[in-house]
Parts: sequence; C-alpha cells; structure tokens
Amino acid sequence: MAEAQRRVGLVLARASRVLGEEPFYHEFIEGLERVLTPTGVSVLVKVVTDREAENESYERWAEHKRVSGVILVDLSPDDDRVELVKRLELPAVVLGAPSTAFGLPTVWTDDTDYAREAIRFLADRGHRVVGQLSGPLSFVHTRLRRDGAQAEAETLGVSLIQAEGDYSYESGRAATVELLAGKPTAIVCDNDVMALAVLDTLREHDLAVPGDVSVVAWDDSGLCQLAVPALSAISHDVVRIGEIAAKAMLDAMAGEPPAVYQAPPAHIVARDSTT
Amino acid sequence: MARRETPAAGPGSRALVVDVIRSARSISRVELAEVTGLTQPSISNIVRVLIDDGVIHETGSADSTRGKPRILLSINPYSRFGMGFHLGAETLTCVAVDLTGGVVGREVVPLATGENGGDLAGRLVARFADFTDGLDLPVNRIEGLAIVAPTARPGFESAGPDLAAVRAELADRLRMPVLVENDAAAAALGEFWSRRVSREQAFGSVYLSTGIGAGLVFSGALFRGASFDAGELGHLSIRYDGRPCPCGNQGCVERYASMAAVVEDARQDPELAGRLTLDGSVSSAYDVIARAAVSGDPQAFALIDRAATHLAVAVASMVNLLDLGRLVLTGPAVASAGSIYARRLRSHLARTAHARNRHPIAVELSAQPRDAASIGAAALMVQAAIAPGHTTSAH
Ligand SMILES: [Zn+2]
Repeated sequence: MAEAQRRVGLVLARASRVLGEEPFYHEFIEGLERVLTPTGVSVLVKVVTDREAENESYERWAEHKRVSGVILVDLSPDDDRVELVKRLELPAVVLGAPSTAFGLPTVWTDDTDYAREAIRFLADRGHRVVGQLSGPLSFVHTRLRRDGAQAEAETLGVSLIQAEGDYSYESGRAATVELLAGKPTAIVCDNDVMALAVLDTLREHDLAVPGDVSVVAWDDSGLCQLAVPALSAISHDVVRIGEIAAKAMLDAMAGEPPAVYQAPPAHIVARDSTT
Repeated sequence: MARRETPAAGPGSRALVVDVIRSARSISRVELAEVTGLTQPSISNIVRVLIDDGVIHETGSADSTRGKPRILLSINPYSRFGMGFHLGAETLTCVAVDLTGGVVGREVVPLATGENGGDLAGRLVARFADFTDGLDLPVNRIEGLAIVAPTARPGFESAGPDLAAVRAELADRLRMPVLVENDAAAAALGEFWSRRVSREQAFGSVYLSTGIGAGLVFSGALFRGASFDAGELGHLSIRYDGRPCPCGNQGCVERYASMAAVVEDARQDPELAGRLTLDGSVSSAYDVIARAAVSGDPQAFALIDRAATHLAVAVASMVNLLDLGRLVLTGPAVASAGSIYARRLRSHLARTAHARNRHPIAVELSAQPRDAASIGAAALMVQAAIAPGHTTSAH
C-alpha cells in the first residue's frame, strides 16, 4: 500500500490552453515544489473552467481530506473563496494584496508600485500617450495595476488609455486594435502572451517597434527574450515568489498566525522593444 | 443506425477527420470535405458518429462567402482525458490532459524507482487512484495511461525497472489501455498535438534533459524505428575524434550540449564554480547556470551559448536528413535558458539548412518544457483513442 500523500491544492480557473501558454504558473509551481517536495508535501494543480467548479473542488477536497491546504490566486474584491476556506477549515495562503485576504496569510507583490514604475519608465523616455492592456478587471491585482498606472500618469501629465484582455493571445490582438484608436506611442501589457499579440498586431498595422510604438510586458519569460524585437519586461523572480508561498503554506499548515509575506522586488529589464 | 462505412471512409478516415479538425481549431463540413478529399456524405457520417461519441461538437457558425452560415466543428475538450506518468530518478510526474492536449491536472510525488522501488506496479496503481480522486476525474472518461522514462543506455537495458511487466500488470489492474514510451518521443507527440500542428508538417522536437533526445512526427504519427529507439539525437557525433561517449562512439553531441555536459564544464571553470552555487544535483546546478545566463552573467551565457552552438550543428544534420519544416525545443533544460538555444538554432539553420531556400524551418520554444514528457504521454493516449490507427506502442 502506498502511504497517503500530504499535498497542497492549487486550483486554476481558466481554459487549459491559457495555462499552457503562460509561463507564470509553471515558474510559480516550480518554486512551490522546490520548498515543499523535500518536506514530503506535493502540489496538486487542478485546472477548472469556472469559479463555481473551483469552489466545488475545495468542498470535495475538504470533505475527503485530500489536501492539507490550498493556495488561492486571482482574487476578486469581496471574494467568496476567503469565507469558504475558513468555513471548510482549510489552511490557505493568498497570492495577492493583504486588503483582499481578510486575515488569511498573503504573499504580496506590490502591483500598484510596479505599474507606477512602468509608467515612469516610459514617461522618462518621452512617451506622453500610453496604452495599458490589462488582464480581467474582475481580479484585484488588475485593478491595483490600473489604479497605479492611472495615478502615476496623472502625476506625470501622461495621457493613459486602457483596454481589457483575458491574458490570451487572441484577446491581446483585439485589445491592441482598441488601444490604437487612441494613438499611443507605448503599450504596457499585463502578461507576456498578450505582449506578443501586441507585437504581431503592430506589425500588421505597419507600425515599427520601438520606432512608432514601444512595448513593455509584465512577467519576463523565454517568450519575451525570443520575441522580435526582444521585449522589455517587468521581471519578477516568480520561482522565488513560489518558494515564499510554500513557506507561508507550511506555516499555515503548522497553525502559525497569519502574516504578510513580502515578495522580492521586481525590476524592469530594458530590451529592444522600448526606446 | 446510420450506415457507417463507404469504401472511401474506413477507420483511417475517422482519424484523418479528427486530425484535421484538431489542427484547424474549428472547421465546417464543407471545408472538411475539401481538405480531406472525402465525399460530403462520408464526412456527414463520420461527423455524426464523432458528435455522438462526444469527441467533437458544433461550436456556432461563421459567415460564409457562399451565402448561408456555416456550422463550425471543433474538438470537445472536456469530454475525455488522457493520463501520463513520467518516471524520474526520485519522483513521478502525473499529468492529465483533455482532448486538445491542455493540462487539467498535475502533481509531482516522490517515488523511488530503483532497487528500493519494490512493487512498482502496485505503487503506480495507488498513485493513479490518488491522482484521479484528487482531480475528481471519472475513471470511465479516462482513455488510458502512458508511462514515460528515459531510454536505457546500450548495455544498461536491464538496469531499470522492467517496464514491459509493469505495463502488463497496470493494464490488467486499471482495466484500461497502458502504453510505455520514451520521454523524447512522447514530448514530441505532446507538442504536435497541443500546438495543433497539421499532419502535413514534417515535425520534430528536441528534448533537452540530462541527455538529449529527439522525437519525430510524420503524417501525424510518431516515427519509432525498428526497436522504438528512433531519435537518439544525443548520439549523433559532431566530431569523429571528439569526447568519448559511454555509447561507444566519439564526439556525440550529448557530450557537449546536455545538461550534464554544461554542468561538468562549469564545475571545471574555477571562476564560475566559485561564483555560482554548483553543488547538488546536475539539474539544480544546471538551473543555477541557466538563470545566471539569462540574467546577464556573461560567462554563464557563453557556456550555454557554446552548448547551443554544438547542438545546432547536430540539429542541422537531423533537419537535413529528414527535411523537417518545424521544430520545437523542449525538456527541463530549456525551461530557463531556452531562448539562448532557440536563437542559436534559428541563426544556424537559416545559414546552413539545405532546404532553407525552399521553405522556412520554424524553431519554437515549448510553453511547458519541464512537463513536456508527461504531457506528451497523456496526449499519446488521447491520440490513440480519438485518432486511432495512428500509433503503436513499444509494448
Ligand atoms: Zn554517444
């Protein structure tokens, strides 16, 4: 007989194809496993199509004691998952801002601040009309990035135009066309896959990068490095964020009081897609 | 009951139709007839059966240039699933994919497979139950399990676990199809399936891990050779008097470009070895070098770039031998530093590939390089189930 596997659950509510395209979660999981595997704890990743199915997963996991804890991602304002995991008495760690977690431990990247930094980076290079291609507005981190970018744009006298995508390549193309109506000279994207869609769409509109439009991606990856031109990116050490989340998870499983675990600072890697 | 087969629409036709729908993402019945060369009635029959089986579904309509709206068909992703287990040295990677090859579940658990492995089949059966329970996947919607492991070195074929026996026992106890495949071949099929590569493409993938392997997909089927040992790219020699290789040859590219070779070179460089933490396993040491290389350490970059240059010479030979049109780089070694390898391969092939003026040779980077073998294993079961007549296994 096999021994029962101690495990942490991570449910991702998105199309399986989007997960395949996005390097962020692969690196995050890699970081989780670096810390958890040596302690004999595995990470069960489950991809579901919607939030309802996500909540059902937590209910069943709790009922059958299949996981020792869960990691919650992509929180919305007043997210019902926070109450749910408390009711199910599942130890939980939130990847996101402490304001959304209502007392659960969080691993926090200061999205507001990095959005401000990206706008500053572009304003310093002379851009006065900047497009922001965000992820879904239902996510708190999307709103924090939009608010941060808006605040910094106002401070610096930059005109900011915003469009929403869902992190997929197709949504990136549609949102780029929307943004181009406002004639931006730079576009900041919430992930690398949408940034690639921006590059392709600009090419089809005969706009040169960075000559006519500069492009910055959120999340650095092999895709950013290989893009033509290579994409400037807001680079997080995502593996490290995963390691910190794993530490937070082990603390939560041990019954430690909730804390805010600060993620390491990000920085902008300037490559060929910005002037 | 609809009448099934006309002479022109045998089982191979069903596989062909599924494969065309998969690679097109969505397509109308009229276009299916045009692309496959099958008659309109044959297409209608095959499509009806596929819809009844839940393999495909109608996904709305698009405007047609011919006046009336066309109903589009696409793969129905969540109706069935394939499972893949990748046996590592100390861990087991478990993956479940849907019919499009998209990952719906993943877990890595500790598992000793060596002499202390004991009842390996029994432990895999337990893991299978544990994993599918955790994902709430109904067993009657699982098409089968494929197990992947690295190919054994010549002379060491009997060293690892007896996978043929494990396979037979698993098939018996799980009551579903079970296959065994090598990691590089499985990874190629997975990339082929999930990237929607069309069966017209001469497709290959390069799998970089502790060793180097390749997988080849021609006309939609994995190419396996006489003993399921095709794709030993790592033992393609790039130097007749080069470094000796345990396989018996000299100058094998694996001795210059594998993770193990890069780590060995780095550890012999006193400055690099002093600056980076290179103790620990080959894969963790390699990861340190790869991360340094992409974050601006010029020496680490030079080391990986040199490995990539060696690899490019071997890959150009493979591309020329087989006239490949599309290549994907995958495997754990390209997870961090894949862009360095891809750039080298692209520039080398653009300069040296024999067919470079006849067609482009696309070089892409896997989106899930660490899990490529287990994802590919699971995709193999999906292909065997919904596009059968297309794949045979080593056992
Ligand atoms: Zn050799």
